[in-house]
Amino acid sequence: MNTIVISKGPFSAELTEVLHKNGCDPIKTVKNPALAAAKFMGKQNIVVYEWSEDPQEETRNLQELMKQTTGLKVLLIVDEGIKEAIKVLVKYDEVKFVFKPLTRERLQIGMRMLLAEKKRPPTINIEYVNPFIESTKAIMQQMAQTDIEKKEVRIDKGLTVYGDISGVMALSGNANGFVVISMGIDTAIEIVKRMTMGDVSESDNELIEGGIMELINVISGQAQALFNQNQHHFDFTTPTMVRGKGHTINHGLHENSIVVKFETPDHKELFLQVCLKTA
Amino acid sequence: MKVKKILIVDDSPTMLRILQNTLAKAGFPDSITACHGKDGLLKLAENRDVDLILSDWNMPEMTGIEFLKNVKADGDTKNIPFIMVTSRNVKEDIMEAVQSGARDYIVKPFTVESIQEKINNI
Repeated sequence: MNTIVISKGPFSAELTEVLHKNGCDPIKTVKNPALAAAKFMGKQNIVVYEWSEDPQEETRNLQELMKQTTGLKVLLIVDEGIKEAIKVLVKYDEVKFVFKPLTRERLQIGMRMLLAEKKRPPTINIEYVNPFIESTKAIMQQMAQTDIEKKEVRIDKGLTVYGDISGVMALSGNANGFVVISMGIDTAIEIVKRMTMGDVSESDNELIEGGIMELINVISGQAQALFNQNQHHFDFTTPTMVRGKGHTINHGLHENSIVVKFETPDHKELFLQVCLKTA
Repeated sequence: MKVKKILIVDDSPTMLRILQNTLAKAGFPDSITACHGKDGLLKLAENRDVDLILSDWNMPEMTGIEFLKNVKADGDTKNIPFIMVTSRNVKEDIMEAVQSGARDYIVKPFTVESIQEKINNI
């Protein structure tokens, strides 16, 4: 990574070695911050910036530097108690700081902070989730004559199913991922009973599983029609079935999932889980 | 046209039961079932008195659209009205089914009334 050290004084060989060990190469040193931008190369630039005693001026200098290139990472070497540095840190996520006097250890800690992979916040486009919520409510009413109420929406790490029985549908298109409908066995029996307009017992495995797969199939089909109205396009696979609570679906997307908890009029729970990676 | 006997083709036993019960409530209690297109062709050969076919789209062995094409290619069965039943409300699919000879198209979920209306319009 192309590295520019802004320092009024000398930058020791010992500190330069720390930078090299962190992948900094080439390393150029300038005394005047205004000259640093001229040394930028490509998109991977690091600035190790030793601040003077005039934090207001240095803040202006830093802001000018940040305007010069995208993806710039800056490690500030500041005096303890300089509040201006904190104001800058709030504004720029790519700016870290360590205190003077700059030692080998402090520089190493600063570089580690600077180069650490930023954890991505949960980013699920709600535009892709709402059609599934609408569709679930509508299909439950139409196929199982049950008015369900949305009780809770939360974000889960990964995709772990909640109920005893879950219908899973994979989708691809504007986003890739999975949509899951999950519930307890008692709820599933009641829903399939209503869907088939006949008696269903716990031993009717094929009928119950088929009913829940049909449910997710039709929910996805109706959501697909809603997506098409908004110019989003998805293809769905055929549904599959997961039995047993707490199963984790290894989807390889490294994405969080949105969990929507619904409740039937007799307080039975039903979970809709949407885990998508947008293209 | 007076519809009496209906062949329902679907790979899901749950869906077969839903359709049989819905048809009974809609006034069509006489129905037979098949679990995919190939099975549907066998049932048609055994039951010459089928008045209407309701078929799912996605099935193993033989899909609904392949089944439809086979039915329309056979002189003995080509005049039996064929209604495709599917969860995919996609214009291209509807066009393909109609161009292949389907009389109509039912998108799930359906109701007793919507099934009744479709059959009465044949």
